[in-house]
Amino acid sequence: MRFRYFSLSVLVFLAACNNDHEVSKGTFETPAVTTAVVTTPDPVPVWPNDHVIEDTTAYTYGAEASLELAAVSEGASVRLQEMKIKGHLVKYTARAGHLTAYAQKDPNNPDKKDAQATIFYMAYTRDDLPRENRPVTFFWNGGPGSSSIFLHMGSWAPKRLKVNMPIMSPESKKTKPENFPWIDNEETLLEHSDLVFIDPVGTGFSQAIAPHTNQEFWGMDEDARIERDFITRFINEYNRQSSPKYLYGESYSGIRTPIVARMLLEAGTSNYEPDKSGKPAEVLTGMVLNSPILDYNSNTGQGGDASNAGFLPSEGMVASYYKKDKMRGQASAPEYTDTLRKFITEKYNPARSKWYAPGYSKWKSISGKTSEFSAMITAYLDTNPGAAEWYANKPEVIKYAEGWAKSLTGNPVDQAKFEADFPNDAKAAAALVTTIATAAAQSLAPPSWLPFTQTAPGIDFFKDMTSITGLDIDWAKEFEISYTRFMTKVMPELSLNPYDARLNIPKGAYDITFYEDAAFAAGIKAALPDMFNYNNTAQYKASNFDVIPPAWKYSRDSEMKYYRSSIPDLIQTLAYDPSIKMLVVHGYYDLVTPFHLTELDLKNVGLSGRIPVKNYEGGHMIYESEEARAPLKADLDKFYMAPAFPVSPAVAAQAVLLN
Amino acid sequence: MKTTYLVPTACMAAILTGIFQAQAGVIAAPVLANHPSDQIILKIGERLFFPPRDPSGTAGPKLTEEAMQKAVDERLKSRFEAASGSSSKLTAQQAKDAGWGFIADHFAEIDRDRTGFITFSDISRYMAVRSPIQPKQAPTPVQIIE
Repeated sequence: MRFRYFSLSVLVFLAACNNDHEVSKGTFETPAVTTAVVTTPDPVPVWPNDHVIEDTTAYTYGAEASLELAAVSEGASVRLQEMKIKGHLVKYTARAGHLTAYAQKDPNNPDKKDAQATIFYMAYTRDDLPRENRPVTFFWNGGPGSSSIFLHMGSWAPKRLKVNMPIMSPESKKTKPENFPWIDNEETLLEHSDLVFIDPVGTGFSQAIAPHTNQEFWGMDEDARIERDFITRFINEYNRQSSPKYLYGESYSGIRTPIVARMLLEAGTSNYEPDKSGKPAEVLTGMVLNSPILDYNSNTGQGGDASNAGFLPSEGMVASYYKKDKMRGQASAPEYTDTLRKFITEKYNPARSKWYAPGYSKWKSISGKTSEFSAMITAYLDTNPGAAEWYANKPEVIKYAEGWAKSLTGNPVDQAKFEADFPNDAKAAAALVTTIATAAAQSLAPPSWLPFTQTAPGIDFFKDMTSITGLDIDWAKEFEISYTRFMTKVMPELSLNPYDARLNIPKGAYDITFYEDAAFAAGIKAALPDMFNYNNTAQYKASNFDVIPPAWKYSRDSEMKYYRSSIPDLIQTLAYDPSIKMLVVHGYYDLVTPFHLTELDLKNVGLSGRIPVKNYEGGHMIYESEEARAPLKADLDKFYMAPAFPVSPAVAAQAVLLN
Repeated sequence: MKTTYLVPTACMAAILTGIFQAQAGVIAAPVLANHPSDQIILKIGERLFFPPRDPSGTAGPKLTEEAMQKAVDERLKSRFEAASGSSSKLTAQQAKDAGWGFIADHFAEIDRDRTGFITFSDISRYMAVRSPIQPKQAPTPVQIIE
């Protein structure tokens, strides 16, 4: 398996070096990483003709949406392009269009073809290179409910939007930027791989095909199956059976990508059409997870009982950025984050174990909110001149109560009661949830905490927490704080973007979380015709967050335990093929999927040695930071050019030598 | 459909920034603008969405190497049973028909004695060698509290 690929690589090196063409400084001593392998193109390259598409299909994006089969076509627009990669002129094809994701063959009805969905994709391919050596990488963003727009327009395509995170123009401090410059991408991954950006059903121009409806594919396994089926169709259409294959997933795709990988490996080559080239098929070669979530249960972004230790190093880096910390000194980022990892093991965890009792964290957080809410409601109703009129508008008050109920209660029964009581007697409803939460927190508070707070180690611990986070608060009372609490306190006069907390605006200017959205929407609108010759008068659905997340099925197929994590799927993937290369990348300033949480998630299941995690001077979308791009690209270079992950002798012995 | 957990984020954003306008006119709803609290003020503009709250309100299981090994073993068993039906043996064709192409592709490696049939034990042993995790304890049944 892998050994054949390895020797092919050597042959390619030899072939390349035998040619007059200027080759990059490659050596024969793999795995030393060199610059780009700009291999000699095929003597008779097969470039397609340019092809313009005017797509007039009316794609729709609701849960029940569905396209008639007669309206579905599998064409792609084509435009030949060229660019310079590290000084070499490289030609490539830009294609945008649809392929149908057919269900896997039904053995009882092998001729039946179930067209499940029409999937929109945008691809950059070097059609001149032999397929068996030329990787192809499939990209998804997250949500769920996002198209591939951010990775496509911002990361590794031949051209990119320069976001320059976290630098903002003075105008951007007041209103969202409308444009970013669209520039040639010096760090394009086209250097190593063909690139395919995929829009899941309900995003981009992707839609279910009747009788299927969109929401059939809005679930953890349902979505993964469609992605698998699309990839299979792509492989068959473009004859990529023998190509090395990579998956690159961001954010929610930390859940999606391992599931897709596992499904691809389970299916093996059984859905591959015969490959006329006769070259050996390769199912999966490597996986990159960019700012992934791997386990919903360990991520306390929405509360819960798990430890917040995973967030502390990111908070420390953010505090350091704003010069609010006192612990870092002159330490580099790797040195300082190591200091923080050590602090967590030696001081934070022991302290937390004195503070923690099951359920206490949750109830303490709720009790804090209920107290504040009660005070606010009382003040409002007693002193605000418009209060009576507001309260008389029952539909509004009901909506208001529904908006607050979840964060003020600890279970669905109390939640429903609050929603029912509040429109009748707001103060009583607020008082009741406060009583419940305070009593619960008090009854659960571990007796070991208070004594600890008065000891020397306790006092030192709190001093360290202030040094690290920049927050001079009463840790004895406030521990354990969430990242949202940290964000409101570290720079109180600013709104920080949780996805890159260096990005900030004066409070209330606009919703900074969606900083890039308008400019990226403008970017793809121009890119589709200019880059791809793909024209569609309808608007590309960049995100569908009002519809998809509420409808998403977060439960798994019945035999899939641990449905809130993709870690079992990761383990299955690496067991199916132990030679698969893995890489996880994170940004220091991302408070939504903090880097140390991933490190802990992998450590807890024994995968630290197998799956490297690398961190950069960036946020969730690491590639939006100029400072992070070159180091991240350098690590991706090494990743793509590395040989297969070495398998144990026992695994190698399993491979049967075919005569 | 009443979705009380995720849809309100947009509502709450509006509430907290004071943009929320009552239908009746310009009466501003009560806001916590001067008393920010964790989670409330920052449920604005989510890009990463979470599953709904667990009905019991408890924490999910903490993932450990042993628990993961057990989960993966159980999945393998389910996969085998789906492919083999009531039989304890599996052929390459049966695996392929069940969409388990991996087994068909690697059949010769698993069916060392060339009978044309493999058992769950054969597959289990084959996969155990390949597992990226090697829990130190023997995979005895582990209590999984969900």
